[in-house]
Amino acid sequence: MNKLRLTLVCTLLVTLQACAAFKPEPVKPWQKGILAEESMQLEADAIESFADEHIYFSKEASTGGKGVGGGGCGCN
Amino acid sequence: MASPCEILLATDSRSLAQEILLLSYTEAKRIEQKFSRYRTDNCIYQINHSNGTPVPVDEETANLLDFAQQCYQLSEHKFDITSGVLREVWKFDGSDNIPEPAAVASILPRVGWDKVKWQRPVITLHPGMEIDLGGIGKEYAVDQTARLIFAKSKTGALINYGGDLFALGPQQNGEPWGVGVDDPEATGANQVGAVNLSKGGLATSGDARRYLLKDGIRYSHILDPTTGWPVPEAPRAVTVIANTCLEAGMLSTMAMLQGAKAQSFLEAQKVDFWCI
Amino acid sequence: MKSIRNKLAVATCTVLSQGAQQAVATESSWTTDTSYLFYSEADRVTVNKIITRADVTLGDNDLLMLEAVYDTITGATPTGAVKSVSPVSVTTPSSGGAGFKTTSGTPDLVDFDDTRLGVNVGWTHSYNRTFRVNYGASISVERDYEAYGGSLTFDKETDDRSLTFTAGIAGSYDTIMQSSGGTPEPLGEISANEGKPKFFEAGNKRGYEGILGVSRIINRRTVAQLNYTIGSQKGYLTDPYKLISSTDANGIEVERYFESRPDNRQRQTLYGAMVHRLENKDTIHLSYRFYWDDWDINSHTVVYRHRREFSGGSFLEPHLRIYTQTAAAFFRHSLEYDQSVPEYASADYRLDEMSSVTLGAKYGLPAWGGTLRFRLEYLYQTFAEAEYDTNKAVIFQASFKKAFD
Repeated sequence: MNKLRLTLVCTLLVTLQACAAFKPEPVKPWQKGILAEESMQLEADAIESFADEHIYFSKEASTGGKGVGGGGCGCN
Repeated sequence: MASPCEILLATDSRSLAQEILLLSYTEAKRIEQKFSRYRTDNCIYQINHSNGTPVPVDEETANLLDFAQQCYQLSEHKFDITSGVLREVWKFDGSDNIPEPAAVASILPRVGWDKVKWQRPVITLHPGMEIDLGGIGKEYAVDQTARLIFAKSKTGALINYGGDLFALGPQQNGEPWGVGVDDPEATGANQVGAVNLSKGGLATSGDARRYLLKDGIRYSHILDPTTGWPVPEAPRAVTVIANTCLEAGMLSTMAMLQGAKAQSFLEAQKVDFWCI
Repeated sequence: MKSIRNKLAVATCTVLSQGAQQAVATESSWTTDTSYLFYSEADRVTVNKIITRADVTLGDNDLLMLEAVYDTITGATPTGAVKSVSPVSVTTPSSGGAGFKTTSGTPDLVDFDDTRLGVNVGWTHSYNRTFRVNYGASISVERDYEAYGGSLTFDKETDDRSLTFTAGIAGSYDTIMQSSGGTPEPLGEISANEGKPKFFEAGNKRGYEGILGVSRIINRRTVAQLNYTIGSQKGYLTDPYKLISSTDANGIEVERYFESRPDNRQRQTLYGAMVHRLENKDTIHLSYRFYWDDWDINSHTVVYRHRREFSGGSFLEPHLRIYTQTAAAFFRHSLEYDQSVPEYASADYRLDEMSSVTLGAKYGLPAWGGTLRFRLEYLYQTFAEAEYDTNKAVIFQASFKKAFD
């Protein structure tokens, strides 16, 4: 029981910490240094996601979500 | 440089802005790498670890050393780029750790530009001595960046490297840039002055968070290299407007070193200033 | 007190006028990215793919994107037919060589050998500081498939650039056939005693898609995105190569048919993504997609990337992707012999209930003035009912990106 409580407290703490990290706050232009880095882009590696989209398009029934257009194929 | 650097440009052109930004970043980085005393791959490290042997320096470093020497003379030996070793005993962390007078005295033989042998382009330091261009570097970087931007484009710009700034022409609407002068005790929260700057440099010396407090006496982090002790009654902060950022920076630093006479020193220079 | 100002001004002027002059790099206006991809399934399909892409900045307001992909596909893929104990003689429309060819005795697998060339172009124009439009077009040509597409996407940012709203539409027109030309009659029987199945001309399908999205800067180290997409496809949505068997009570194949799918499909997605820089300087990339369509397929996709940068500019990025989907309403492992044939039926494993896991990592390092990346991943799929109940594949990709003046 104590163990469970400890686990719960830990989980709560981790969650609170995570929430703090994602807390919205205004970002001034000169504070965008990190956001401007290549690894911080929502589409960090265009050629890789292009390749992935074709792989999963041809192996699964779902597709799309990130954007529209880009062309289909008869890949099997 | 360990402080936020900002460049405001009066332009709609994204490519020009990117070009100027890259230009500025490259220059600031270059100066930081070349003159930072925290690096181990530059000429400052080489000089500070020469252990008494002569070190030849390049043209730009020589110019800065010449300039530091002139400032040493103009300030009656108060502005001294060799005073950094005093930090071995002085730690300005807001505590009451005042060093023993004997400890301070033991450092003094390693302080003093007059002990340095500087014969352009060769500098020779006694073992244990160090030089630090930190008091010049940031302002120098602002002015050099301004020069590069001006050579590239005549667009209005405000260069702000951690509170040391230079305005290169007004904003797009022709209005000067508005610059607030912070209350050093409430950075960002309270402004003691505001200035409109279209062209010229502005620099601030003083850091309200760096001091020692013992027996009700506040010891500022401005050390007098001739005594090894904090300058008594130094202002908390001095902001000066001058033709260049470097000039403004030197005047504000020298004013701090004047202690109680800072105000009259600044008045004699006939510049716009805030002395708090 | 004496004035030192004039002397100081002279000294300052001297040191500043002598500052080091140096060559300054200018803004790069070209970025190219070239990639080789190898995808290989155990005993089945192997794909070799070359992708090259160039992003060209033209002045302040225009960005051109050109992308070309060339791939070859070889190897066997499941047709949907059951593994026959005593193979029936199969009539295939292929005259041998490239294209569709069931290996004698194994109608459950079909050998492929095809090449594809695709080209995508995009032009993004900024009409003002916060509004830009992307015009896109794409063509893809294979021996048995042609696809043409166009898209129009609008991006509007708020003045402080903390929010970006996206709206877009896209249309496509695809032509589908077997490599020998033509499409088989849906659910046409291909057992020898019935003679050749009927063949029609190439099939066409039209697709329309729309997107509404928003991305937001949450704080200095977090960006998030939310998209909704809706799409509709009409026309020949069947796969002209896929088969379905009818079997007796013992699961032995009795007859074999071409598959048949409905001629329209409505699909929707909700996609959320987030990038966050941790205190330890690692970057995490997390995305989730919920997909649903009117063929009764629902799916969940979660992708997690964790990137760690090292001094010197290299980085390592482990990657985990988890995917699950429900089966299409008309998916069958096989039909029951002597029952009436339904209107739609497919045994294509891709329409079965499935789960996929991809685990791998990417390593990047600076090289030759650009960035070189390698990734190696393992894909493992399991299917609920399909004749081949697993698929295992290795994915390897090497890419090189470089910027030019």
